[in-house]
Amino acid sequence: MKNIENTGKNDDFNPKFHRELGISDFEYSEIIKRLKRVPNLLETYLFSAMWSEHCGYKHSKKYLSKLPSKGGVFRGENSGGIMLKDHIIFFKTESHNHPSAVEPYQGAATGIGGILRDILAMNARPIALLNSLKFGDIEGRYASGPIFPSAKRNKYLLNGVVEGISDYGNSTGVPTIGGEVSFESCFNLSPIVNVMAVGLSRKDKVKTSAAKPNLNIVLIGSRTGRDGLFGAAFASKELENGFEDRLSVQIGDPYAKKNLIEATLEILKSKNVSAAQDLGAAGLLSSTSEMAAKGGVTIDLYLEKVPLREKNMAPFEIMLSESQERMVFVANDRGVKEIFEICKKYEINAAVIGKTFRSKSGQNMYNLYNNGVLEGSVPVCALTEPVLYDLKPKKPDYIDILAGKKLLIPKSLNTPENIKHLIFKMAASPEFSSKKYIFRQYDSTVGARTLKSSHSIGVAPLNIFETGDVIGFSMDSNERASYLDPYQGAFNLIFEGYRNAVSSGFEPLGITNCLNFANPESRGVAFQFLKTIDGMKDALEILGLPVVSGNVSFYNEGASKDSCECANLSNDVVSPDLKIYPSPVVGFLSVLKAKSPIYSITSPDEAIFLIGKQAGRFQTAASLYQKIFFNFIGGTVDRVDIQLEKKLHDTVFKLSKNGWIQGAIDVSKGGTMGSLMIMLFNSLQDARFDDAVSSKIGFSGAFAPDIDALFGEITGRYLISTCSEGSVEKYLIKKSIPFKKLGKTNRTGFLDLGFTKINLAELWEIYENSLERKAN
Amino acid sequence: MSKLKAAIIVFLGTNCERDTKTALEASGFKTKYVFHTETSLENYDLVVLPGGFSFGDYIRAGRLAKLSPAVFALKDYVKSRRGFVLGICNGFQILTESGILPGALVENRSTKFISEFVKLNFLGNPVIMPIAHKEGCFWADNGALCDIEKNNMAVLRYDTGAKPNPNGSLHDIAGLYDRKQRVFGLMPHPERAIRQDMGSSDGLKIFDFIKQEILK
Repeated sequence: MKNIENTGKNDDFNPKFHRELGISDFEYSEIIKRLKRVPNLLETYLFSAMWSEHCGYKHSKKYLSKLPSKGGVFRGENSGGIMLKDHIIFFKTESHNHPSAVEPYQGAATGIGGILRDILAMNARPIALLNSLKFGDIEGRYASGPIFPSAKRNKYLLNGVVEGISDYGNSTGVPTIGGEVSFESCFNLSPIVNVMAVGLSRKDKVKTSAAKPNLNIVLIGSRTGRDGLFGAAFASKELENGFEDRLSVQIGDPYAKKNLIEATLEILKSKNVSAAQDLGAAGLLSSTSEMAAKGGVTIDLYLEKVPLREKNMAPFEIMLSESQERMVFVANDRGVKEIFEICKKYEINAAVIGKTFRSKSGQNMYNLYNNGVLEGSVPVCALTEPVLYDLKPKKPDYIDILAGKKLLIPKSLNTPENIKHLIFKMAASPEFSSKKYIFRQYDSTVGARTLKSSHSIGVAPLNIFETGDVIGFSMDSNERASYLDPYQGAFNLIFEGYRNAVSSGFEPLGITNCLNFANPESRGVAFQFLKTIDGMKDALEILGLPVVSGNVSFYNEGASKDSCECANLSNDVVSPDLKIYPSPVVGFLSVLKAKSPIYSITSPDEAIFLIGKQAGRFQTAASLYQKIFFNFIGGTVDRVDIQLEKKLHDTVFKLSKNGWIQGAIDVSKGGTMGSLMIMLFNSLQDARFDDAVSSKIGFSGAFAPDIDALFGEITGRYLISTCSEGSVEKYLIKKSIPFKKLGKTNRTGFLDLGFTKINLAELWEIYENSLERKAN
Repeated sequence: MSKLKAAIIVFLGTNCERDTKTALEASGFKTKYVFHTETSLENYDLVVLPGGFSFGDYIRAGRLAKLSPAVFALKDYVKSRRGFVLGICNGFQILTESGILPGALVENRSTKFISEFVKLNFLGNPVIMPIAHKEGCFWADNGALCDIEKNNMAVLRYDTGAKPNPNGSLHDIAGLYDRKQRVFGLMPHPERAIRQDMGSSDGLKIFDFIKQEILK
């Protein structure tokens, strides 16, 4: 056997080669310090992947630990979860922003593949998917001048991503039950594709990734090729060259994934298989080194044993390949036999590629052999514990500038005719309109757990027959608020998710998050990131909710000047070092507490109440209408009234218990008007098979023609629909809950606001079909 | 009376087998998963081809599944008139692809996957079930269509009262009998409509109907 210490010195390569792999000189000297020698070529590659932002979380790790974790289980494993009786609900989010920007179809598909494997590695069957998608402007409304041909490309990205999710997710037999889609010019070059997967396992069946000594390492699934090579490093920088970057995108195979799912779940039933890990970013390297680190063992890998798709792959290529649809297991000899049998049934490859040992020296090593030659050998901890950085935040100038701006709406615009026009404009906007065009492409019912109308309720509900519970999921974000005020934006976001659950009759249990930001080495972005963590932490602590899992995606920005131009809403407000708006996305798990889920629908002859803060006295900055109607962003973001939120929570559950709530929705996008419209639209959707009702729903109320009051978004509000008007009113007065009776539903087919009257069927048609028209 | 025995054929890529099992058991069947390598189905009163993407739908939906031993065994099963055959979604595609049922299921007119609840007409009764497919547009040549209509084989059609059928199927056909009325293929998923909280329990009507047909 060759002595590894010599190979480093003998290797004939450029001494500055590490820079080409994205390792800084400082990091390189740190590596030398830890190895007590110069790394050889292969080892340099290993460090470049493991110390990338994507694998190493080197700019975020120090800060993520501030987020509360109490109440969650298995945080730090492939996926964390929440205990529900004798079962665990695992859920986790992953970003696939960078691959989706260059190759939307495969980028989105493999994002799903990756997050499903994380769930699977816990020995949990995946039971649901959700996603949060953010694209640039698809209408070309906000572009000015001869810039990046954004609208056309954004449509291509939108359709590619959705088709990727549809083709891949649907084939795997996991339903996509919900999510959100938003559009903002700042995503012109960097779309956001965050996917969340949910899994279910019995508590005593859970497997973790810690490897025990003296066992075999078995790799199963697709053969290893050169696809996705350097994927981890690729996701840790700004995008530069469209075509070369495409080579770094992994290719998914949903059929192979389906077989991998079934094979994995069958394999993990065995007592002889002790640990599992999926192969995601930095493939074989990341998965096996993490297993060694968690288990405290030495690992020897025999690279010639890895089934390859291509000839003449170098050791570093084998280690860094991100070929999809692969898993590794740690098993004893009997386990190996079982794995081989199961893999034969599912027609997938399996190979013993290494062994685990208890190290004699006390230092656990990561040894790579190729045909008997030791090609690389580094301490496990050196690989898996990269240098961590302190962020150097500085409040960017734009924050105060924008906070000082005020949207002045001329009185002349508050006319009935104009507001009628704006209602139609809102209904037709991609941001507000129905996402049916997208969700219809996702199989939402496979698995037979999905409750009806999962899009007409604040949280998408799922039956957990195993425990007799109904659980709910939502994904939320508000990048406009986060941009104006990163702290308050994140704080409000947690309460937005909370209200989604409460309005549906569910109690929140915990969250997963995906933090999408631009380059954290920029001080302004560092500020946005740290404030986001603080806001999220404070809100979660108040509500007593844990973060069970998460993901950070930095460097979401195009490298070219164009991106700044594209991101410009108005030239004076965007500082050039801030690319995408800070975009924290949260996924909520909640459990049904009311007798049955409360849908955001209403029926004829009910009264609709607005409960909570009453408009007019509060800050409506970041409201969607300001963007859609006035192309404006600025002002102060509304603050959450915590006491009121808790009172509203209790009120909703109490009213529901008494049978006094027939439908409810939290007031968010589009303000009071927006939520009222959605309730009426959902009711039309709900009654679509009902031939008997000719005019299915109408509404009549008395509003003032005031744009800000109608469309302004503030926190702490719900609409509830009731057929027990008197009882509700009495209760609200008794509990001194601020409220306003908005009006009553009827069968007229008209939305009558007092000052104007709109044909609901016409408005609904626009709401339902606008996105499809605009996306094609 | 002992329970009727149903085989649920599992191909690689099938993904509705568990849902189908639950629904069949709720309808009083005894069920067993049968792997696609099985060569005899004579022990079963009902053979179900569940939904999914058998063999990844490579080449086209059902094209590879029709070459599997279980589908060869299925042809013998049909010939011997041993019992009843039900094909759901991908199962329906396999039945047309292997020639057990006439016509073909081609890509939806919209070229996109469609997942939604639809209203249908089943033997004159309105039923609501979800569809979830990309290749669900029923197509057949004129001769075959005449034959289908003449023999009353199109027992399940999309309701087109409010809007055109979702995928462009000829004659709004969503489900089809063979001439002898012992094989039934349909695109909607009855197994995903067995409780009111799922949005509909009309799927049970399909399974009950099949039970009656077997006992007839």
